[in-house]
Amino acid sequence: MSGQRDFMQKIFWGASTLVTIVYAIIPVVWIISLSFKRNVDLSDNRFFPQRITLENYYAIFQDAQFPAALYNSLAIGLISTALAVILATFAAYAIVRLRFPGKNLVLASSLAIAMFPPISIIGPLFNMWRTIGLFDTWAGLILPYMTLTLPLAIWTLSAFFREVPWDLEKAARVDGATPFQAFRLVIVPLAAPGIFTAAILVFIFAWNDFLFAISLTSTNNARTVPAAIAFFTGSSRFEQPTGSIAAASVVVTAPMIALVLLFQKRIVAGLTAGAVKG
Amino acid sequence: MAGIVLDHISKTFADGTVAVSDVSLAIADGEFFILLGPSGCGKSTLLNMIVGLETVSLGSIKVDGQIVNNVDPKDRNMAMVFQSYALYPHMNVRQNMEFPLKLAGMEKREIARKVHRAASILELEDLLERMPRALSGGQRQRVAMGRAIVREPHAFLLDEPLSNLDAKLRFQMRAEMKGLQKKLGTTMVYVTHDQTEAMTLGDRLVLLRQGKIQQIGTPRELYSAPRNLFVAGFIGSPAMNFLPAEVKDNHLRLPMVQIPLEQLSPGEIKPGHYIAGIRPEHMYCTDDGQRPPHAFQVKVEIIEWLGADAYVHFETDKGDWSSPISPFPDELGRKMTREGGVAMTARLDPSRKITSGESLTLAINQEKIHLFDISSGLRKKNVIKHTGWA
Repeated sequence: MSGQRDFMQKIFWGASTLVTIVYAIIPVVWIISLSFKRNVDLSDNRFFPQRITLENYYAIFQDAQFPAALYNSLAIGLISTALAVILATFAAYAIVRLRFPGKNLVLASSLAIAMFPPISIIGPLFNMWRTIGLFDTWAGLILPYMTLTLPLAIWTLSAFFREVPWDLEKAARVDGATPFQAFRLVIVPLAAPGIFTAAILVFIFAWNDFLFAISLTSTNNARTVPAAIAFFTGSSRFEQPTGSIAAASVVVTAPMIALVLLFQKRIVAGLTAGAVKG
Repeated sequence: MAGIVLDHISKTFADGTVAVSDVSLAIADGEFFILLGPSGCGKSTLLNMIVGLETVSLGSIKVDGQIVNNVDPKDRNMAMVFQSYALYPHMNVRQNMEFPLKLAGMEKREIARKVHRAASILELEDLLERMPRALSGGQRQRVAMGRAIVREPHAFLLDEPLSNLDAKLRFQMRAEMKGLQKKLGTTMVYVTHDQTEAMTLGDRLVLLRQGKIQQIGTPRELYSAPRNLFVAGFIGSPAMNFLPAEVKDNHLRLPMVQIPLEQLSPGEIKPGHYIAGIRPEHMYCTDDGQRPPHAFQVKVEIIEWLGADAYVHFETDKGDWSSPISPFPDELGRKMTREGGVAMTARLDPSRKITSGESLTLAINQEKIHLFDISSGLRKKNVIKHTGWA
């Protein structure tokens, strides 16, 4: 009886898992397949390419704008991430551990920023950036990315800081650490999984953003990959740039997938095991 | 090594709670000193103030004659062991023990030597490369001690260090702790709510209640001459029995028996109402043949037989008079029944077979009866200047 139920359960879980995976993976496989198709085969109504070719990849890297965009994306993403995470670490720690007036206001307003539809600030931002000369610069993108991801980073990190036993900080202070040493040597290493999580979230936001990138840039100076893809043209006016777009998408998606797979373990590990009794 | 003096210390938190009020005490150099009290009595706050993790609202703390109120915890050279052990989970045992030395900027070779020494004292040599999460509770406790002694601090401060261990391990660590303190000769301030731990470990102890000192003294002093009802009820296990009592016509009248005052310990006891305190171990069972005067009959309700001891729970008669302290204040931890009887515990010879429901003849070791004032709670005889017990 129970054997039969176990069997039914297995079937059920197996089937649901399969459906979920297929649902999630088909668009990705499709894009990858497109990127390897020859341009003439693009509309051949087949899921898999008849012949695998790298011509789309050659094409995008020969075009000057894609490598420039990749460089911009990487640099802007990394700088935004670094700034947002450093600021958020301090802010989250202060919110969790210190008592100061207006603490709840900071939390509430950071949440309000997170709720803000970015599209509503694009217009004013465009005009401001043009006036003060931030239009089409790295800083012009880093600023909004950092600002808009800070709330998320602060909320993520404060959740992790709350998990760190306060006794550890006290112990460090008694052991001879200054408040900053206690923070740097004990609290931050323990909140590392949280910091990685926050960093990945911020980086993904900056890396994937299209709205700011398309509105606040105009040349290869600061245009990031998602925006650059929109400017792809076919090799002739009669040709769709589908293949190049697919290849570019694969190139920008791959690092994301690698990043998540790489740090997944760190995020899940939970370094605090064994800190206190248990 | 250092003597620690607390001079009229008070602590008021930002929300207005008074955690510690007007505590003065002197801990001698090399002394094993216990801060004892129920939870919320301010003992941990007091410890945190000594180590510098909490600011002092009023009064001053002196270490070796120097006022340290405004000295940062890192500069006080005190080591603390936390209830949670507070081992750094991202460092192995060696790194945990090295941490305070590294912060002090000590030379590498010196660090290695000191860690080795501390590890050998605590038998941690085999565990040095382990991470805290791979250690058992007792081992973690030992590492926490190791991290404290490696610095050779002025004083050790321990905040309920044994309360997370199981009973057997606690017993073993208690003995080790005592031996360690003897060996190192360092001043040790130890916080606990467990009176057994306090009695067995401490050279001297202070009993706190709601931030106020109840009594300071050796374990023996607190046991045999408790200053007030709270001390009497807190020290000793099982707790002291409290009974309404009246002194009248040269007799001490208890609910179940009257004792002529000549037979009570001498002293000036005015007629009036009191609370009598009798420890469970100061009652004994008499056989019918040699029944002493003033023995009384009880009906056994529950018997707890522990091998080395037998605790007999019973209820007294109402007595033929009424006491103004009926019902008892909650703080006494003893309840009066609606009929006016009082639940009592006696610790009797375990070799005598006692069953519940049985009728026993008990007698009181009369010199050991304590009498307490019903309004101030202070013990009669050796009445010390007081701040009131409530």
